Amino acid sequence: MTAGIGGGSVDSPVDPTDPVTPAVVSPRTPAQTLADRLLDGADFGVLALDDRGLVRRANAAARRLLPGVREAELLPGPVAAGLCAGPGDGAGDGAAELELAGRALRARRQELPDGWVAWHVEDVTEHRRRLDNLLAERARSRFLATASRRLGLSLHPGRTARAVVELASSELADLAVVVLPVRGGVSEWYACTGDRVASSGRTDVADMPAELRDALAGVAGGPRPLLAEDLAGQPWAAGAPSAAALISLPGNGVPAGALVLLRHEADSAAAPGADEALTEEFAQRSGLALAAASLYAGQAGTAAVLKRSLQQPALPRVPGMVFGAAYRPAEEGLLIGGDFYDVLVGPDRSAMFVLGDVCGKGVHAAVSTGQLRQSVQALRRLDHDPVSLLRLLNETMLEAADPEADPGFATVVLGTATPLTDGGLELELAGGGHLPPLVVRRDGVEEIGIGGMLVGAVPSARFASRTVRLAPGEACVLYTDGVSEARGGVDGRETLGETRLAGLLAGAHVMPAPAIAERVEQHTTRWLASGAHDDIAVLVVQAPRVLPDPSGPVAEERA
Amino acid sequence: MTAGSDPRVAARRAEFMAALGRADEDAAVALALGLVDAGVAAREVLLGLVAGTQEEVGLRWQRGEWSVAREHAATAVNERVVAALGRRTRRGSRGHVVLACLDGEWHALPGRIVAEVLRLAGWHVTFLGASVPAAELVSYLHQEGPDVVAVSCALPVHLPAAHRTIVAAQRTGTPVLAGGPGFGADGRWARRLGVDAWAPDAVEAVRLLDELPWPEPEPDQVGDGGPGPEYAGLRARRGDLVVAATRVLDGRTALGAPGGVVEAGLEDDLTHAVDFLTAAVYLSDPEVFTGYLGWLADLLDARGVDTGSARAVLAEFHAGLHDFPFAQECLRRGSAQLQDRPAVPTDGAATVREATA
Repeated sequence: MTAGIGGGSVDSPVDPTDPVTPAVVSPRTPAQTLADRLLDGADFGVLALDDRGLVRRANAAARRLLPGVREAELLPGPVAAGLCAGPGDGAGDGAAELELAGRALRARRQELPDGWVAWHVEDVTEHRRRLDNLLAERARSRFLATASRRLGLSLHPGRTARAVVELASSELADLAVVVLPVRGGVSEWYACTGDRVASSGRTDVADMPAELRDALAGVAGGPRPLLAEDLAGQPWAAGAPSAAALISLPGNGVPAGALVLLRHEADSAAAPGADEALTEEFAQRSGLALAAASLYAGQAGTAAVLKRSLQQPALPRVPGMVFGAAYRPAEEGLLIGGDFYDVLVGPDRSAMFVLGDVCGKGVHAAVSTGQLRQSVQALRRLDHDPVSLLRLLNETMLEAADPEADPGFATVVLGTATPLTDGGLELELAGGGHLPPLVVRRDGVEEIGIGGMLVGAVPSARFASRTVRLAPGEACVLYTDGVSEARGGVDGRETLGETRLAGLLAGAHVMPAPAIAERVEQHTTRWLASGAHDDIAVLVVQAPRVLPDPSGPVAEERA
Repeated sequence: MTAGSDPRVAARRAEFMAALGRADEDAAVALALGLVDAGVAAREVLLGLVAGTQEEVGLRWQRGEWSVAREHAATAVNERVVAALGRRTRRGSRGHVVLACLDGEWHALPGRIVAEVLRLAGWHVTFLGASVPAAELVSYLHQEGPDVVAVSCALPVHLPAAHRTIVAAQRTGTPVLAGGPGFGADGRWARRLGVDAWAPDAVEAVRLLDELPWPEPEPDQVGDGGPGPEYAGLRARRGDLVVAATRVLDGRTALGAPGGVVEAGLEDDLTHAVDFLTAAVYLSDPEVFTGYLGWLADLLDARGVDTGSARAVLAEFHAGLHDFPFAQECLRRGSAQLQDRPAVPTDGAATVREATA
């Protein structure tokens, strides 16, 4: 674009319309040398100053980039200040960055003989703009990447809403508020300020500004400004925001919430909407995360209600006996499984207890346990005898069984407990093909073989019963095969076995029933070391321990 | 006020300890509630009486004065006392804290006490109990969305499993507060596992919760993609090591348990030793292993058992692990530590007994 060597108009600027380029008034114009022409042809500015600071040579680019520079004159004030106040000022590295007439310039100083100085000046405006854009774009991507990662973490609507406002207040506003969809006339809101002060609460739909109601209803979509009168009275609109914008967060069909961004300073560059594309993208991602969390919360809430009826019950306190239990389903996140227990207390204070294992695992098995427990609850009104009850249970299960489905049999121990006048307890135990209970005696552990067939497998199955008397402190331990057949140990393949279990329980009559149950669960899970296991259930019924007289000497078991 | 400094608590402590010794729930509960009725702060009763006597219960077992069964019974009574005190505290409104003992961690009482102290400080606390599987905790966190999840760990042997739970909890976006001696006396292992905050005791936990929100935690230092091949190798060799060590001890080991209740056996103890070694490798810190050996040696001393068998076991582990430089370093330090202890006269029956039951 500049003329070559020997060309005439070497001083013509790159941009002839540039108004700041001064007219060339060079005293040495007639004597242009080859070097002068070469310099004028360069697209970076070259400026030579003599020892007094007078401009002795300024090429075409220098005159264009540094307005007001004239040969044989001192540098104009702004240029001199910019060159001297560069980052290298005083440090002697001879570099300066300056901004003149809307251009970003980078200058490098060169020492010449006789105290002369040359400045090489480069226009970096375009370069700087590209770099700024790149950095801004990177910051945007980084923000969106952080947002995606954090928004994907939780499946809880409140926690997700909190993540949305924390992210938004870190980047997009001084105060960010998420208002969740209206439920039953009220709406939950979550707010966070730029310095991470979070708050939350509920607000009545009647107290909301119409704009916000519209955004939540899906009537109004994209970003829109909120007026001061809209914000008045909103619990989250603390302080006096100078600007506020409202964005609906898109969800599944209906909005997943509304985002309000507020600014406190009247800094127009930082006002909401300054980066609309970023805000829009963030709103999209926030909406998706909130919608997923809301969907999960709905499903989980339904599941929790259903699950509660299938979870093992809290044990009642019954005079004259103590119960303890432990439960660890195979699918540990689920809290329900194919093992079950229950303790039922009649109006006459008689107690019935049951522990069993339906075939299968997981949700299907858990549903069967729920039906079984309800059947026991209902049938015990007809008959108190454990064996007759098992017979009724067997018939009920066979009748209720879906002929299409897999046979849903179960192994069950069902017993009644009656306190004795001597402080002991009499148990009548009926067996339906279950593992033999272990009785913790004062002098050892006794296995109670009962017999009996599986419940719900064949019509007119036979069931048996045994009567067991417990002295104070003695306990009857019912357990499922998740305990006795736990695989683990040293080689990871050995089963725990009934002998080891009996060894574990020897001497446990001094412990209260809940501690006995926990001891079995604890040792079983340690035996497993890690890895998959079957459902584990333990139910302990104990005759209350007789405590030594507190005023008497406490027998110390010194080793 | 320092926790546990109320003279009215100190005056009743012996009486309370006797009730624990008899496993007398009614007397213990009545005594604790009586103190609260007399104006003693519930926090004092929890930290001074319950936590204080529980420490004593542990010592009595360690010294062989109480059987495991008796220790368990006393602990169960203390749990009932905490529950009875808790029924008097109203539901807090400050925020929701979920507290759980890590998977494999059965010492529920310290967590229960912390839960009650936090409730007294106004927090709504859900205590999920002992040995909570990571899957169960995560599903709970997604459903309830608490402000903080606090995890308790009493023994560093559970730290590899703890790490999985901590990462899983943080991936639900919930900050994790760690507590309990299992994370090291100064909490160093808590920081190595990348928790958001660590509290040495309940009082500090209350203070930390006041400071929410916490800054972003440092990333964990267990290495990208897991703890390295030596950890995996040790896990795989666990059974072999125990079998080899059992053979070495054959004929020199008395299996009679010190407390009357048959415990899970020698193999269980040796497995525990290997697990501590594995945890030391996981955390790249021999202190995890040597700390355990110090505790074991105290236990053996208290029961008049010399450390000869323990040293023989360490030598056997060492011989079987020539491709495991870090584990060998832990074993070398452990042996030196046992060697340096004063000899204890024995009746000839040497046992390497360990029982956290």
